[in-house]
Amino acid sequence: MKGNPLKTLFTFAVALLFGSPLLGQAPTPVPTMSGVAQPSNIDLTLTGATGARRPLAIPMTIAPISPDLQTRAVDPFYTTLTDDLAGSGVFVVADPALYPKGVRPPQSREEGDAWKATSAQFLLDTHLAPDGGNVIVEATLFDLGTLKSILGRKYSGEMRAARRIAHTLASDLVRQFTGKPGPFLTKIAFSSDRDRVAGKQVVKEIYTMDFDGDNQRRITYSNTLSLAPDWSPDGTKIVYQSYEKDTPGLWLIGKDGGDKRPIPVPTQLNASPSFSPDGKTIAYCGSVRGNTEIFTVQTDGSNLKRLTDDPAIDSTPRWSPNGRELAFTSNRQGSPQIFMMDLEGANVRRVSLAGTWNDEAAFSPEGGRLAFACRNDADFQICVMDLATGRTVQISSGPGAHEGPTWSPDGSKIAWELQRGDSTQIAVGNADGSGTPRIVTSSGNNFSPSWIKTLE
Amino acid sequence: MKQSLKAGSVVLAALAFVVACSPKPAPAPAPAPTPAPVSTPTIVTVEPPAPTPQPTPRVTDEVMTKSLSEISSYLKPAFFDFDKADIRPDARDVLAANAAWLKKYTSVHFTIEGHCDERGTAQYNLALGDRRANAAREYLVSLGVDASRIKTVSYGKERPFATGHDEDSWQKNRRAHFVVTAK
Repeated sequence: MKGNPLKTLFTFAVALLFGSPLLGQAPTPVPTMSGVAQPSNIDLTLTGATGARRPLAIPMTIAPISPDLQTRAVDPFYTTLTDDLAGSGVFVVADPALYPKGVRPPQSREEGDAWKATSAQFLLDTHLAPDGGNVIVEATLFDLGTLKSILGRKYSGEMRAARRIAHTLASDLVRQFTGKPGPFLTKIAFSSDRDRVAGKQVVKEIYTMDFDGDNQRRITYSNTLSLAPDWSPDGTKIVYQSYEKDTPGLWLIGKDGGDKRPIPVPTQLNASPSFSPDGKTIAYCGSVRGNTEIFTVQTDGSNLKRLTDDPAIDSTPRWSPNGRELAFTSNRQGSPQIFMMDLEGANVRRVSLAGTWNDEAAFSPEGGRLAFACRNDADFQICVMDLATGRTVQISSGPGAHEGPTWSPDGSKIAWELQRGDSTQIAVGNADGSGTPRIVTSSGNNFSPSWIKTLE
Repeated sequence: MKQSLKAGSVVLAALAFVVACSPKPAPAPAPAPTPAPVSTPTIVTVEPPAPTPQPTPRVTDEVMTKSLSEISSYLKPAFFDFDKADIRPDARDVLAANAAWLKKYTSVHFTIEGHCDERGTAQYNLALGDRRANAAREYLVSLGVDASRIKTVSYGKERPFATGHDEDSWQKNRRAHFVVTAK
């Protein structure tokens, strides 16, 4: 997979996305990928090689638009659509500055070629129109090679749903090419210190948001530390750790903040809760007489089981998607490393072999990959290991501590917590390391993202 | 004047005896059981007692009149090495001094908080902080402090004492921290 064509393609994609002068000086037709086989300084080590990204043109609607519709629906729609598709790993959005005027949908070979001159192979023709208080979006996807429409959609909704319509369209487009919807309608739960009162001790509350940082909503009002949320498999509940009683405990809460209740356990610490894939059991890190072990317990507090029995630290359990194994962190061999075991606590084996500290493992939704915080000598980065081969790729880079990875339910993206200096925020990047991760939070400091496990 | 003083001190002594024998320490000389002291004649001439008697308990009272957070400051934190929960030699000295103080003020109940520096992950640090708090607790118990007076809680890296990003701050945050909860 180290072949030149792929590198070339990626260089091309990056140049397009970031308006590199490489192309900027030669905006003229770049008919095929092989046309830009120029060397580049762009670091290709993190590209992860997922295959071709389809160049796509997304011109704005040409219907007459009122200023009101423009600001309430049209602008949010296109910003969201472009962000979703550009970050999808499936498409490359062609530079809008190059789009030809007025030739859409393309009726002739000539008009199609005018669009292909922008580097696009596909054209997403969209029209927005008001309908009372609603907005109607019509979208058609054209293959510029055949000039045939390959996907048509019509959506209608309130003005304020424009972003949601864009997410839905982007998801449908990704499904058209990959067979499964994109993660654009999914949510992330996290812990935030934004409600701390100045001069008082740190408090953290559980929040949820859209995967791109929109619609941030406070879920808990604990007025203490509420940490480490994890979604139930059906996306209706969140389990988390809170210091609401004197000793930190496990709590369940509905996704909208209702129906909060503790999970009674006799252990102390009670950190890092993780829902089993069937939603019935919680794995967590409990302390007994000063030694932390991995436990499982039913959500009503029954059937407590201790899985580990080691004088070292055992922490941070995560279920495998098939429900038969748990990954966890232990320093039983010296430094903190990732281990796996079955639900009887047997068949313990070390998984992370390189580095001085590997921690906070998270299984990909299909179970074949493990994301984790990895460190050798500097700060933590996010690594992804192929469990079959052990091959490990670092998908994050740059300064700061990158911790607590969580997978999007389609396995295409990973969110994590990124601390740079005094600020900690949630970053969202592609699971193969391609593209530039986006920081999606900014209010206060934000920690411990947990991506919802359902796609819609 | 002298006479009444003496009589008073006897009353006080008798009261102190009654108090000492009673299961719970009564605070003030409020409901004095009358008969005994009055009938006792004064025989021995003693030095005029200090303005307020009972020198040792007086210290207790002074410390114990302070707020819980002020009292907490009598108990010094024990510091740890990176990713370790072993009690270092310097921490042994600190904990020994804490133990001595705690054995003097036996009514004090307290929580040991385990804290970590920012370099570990949040979840692992919660476990590590738990271990530090319990290591300090075990050491105190080994020095004779009653375990029932001690609670532990881990804050991992959630509530740092120093917010810098250097070894100076990190060392301050790798600690077992004492908080008095009852006096």
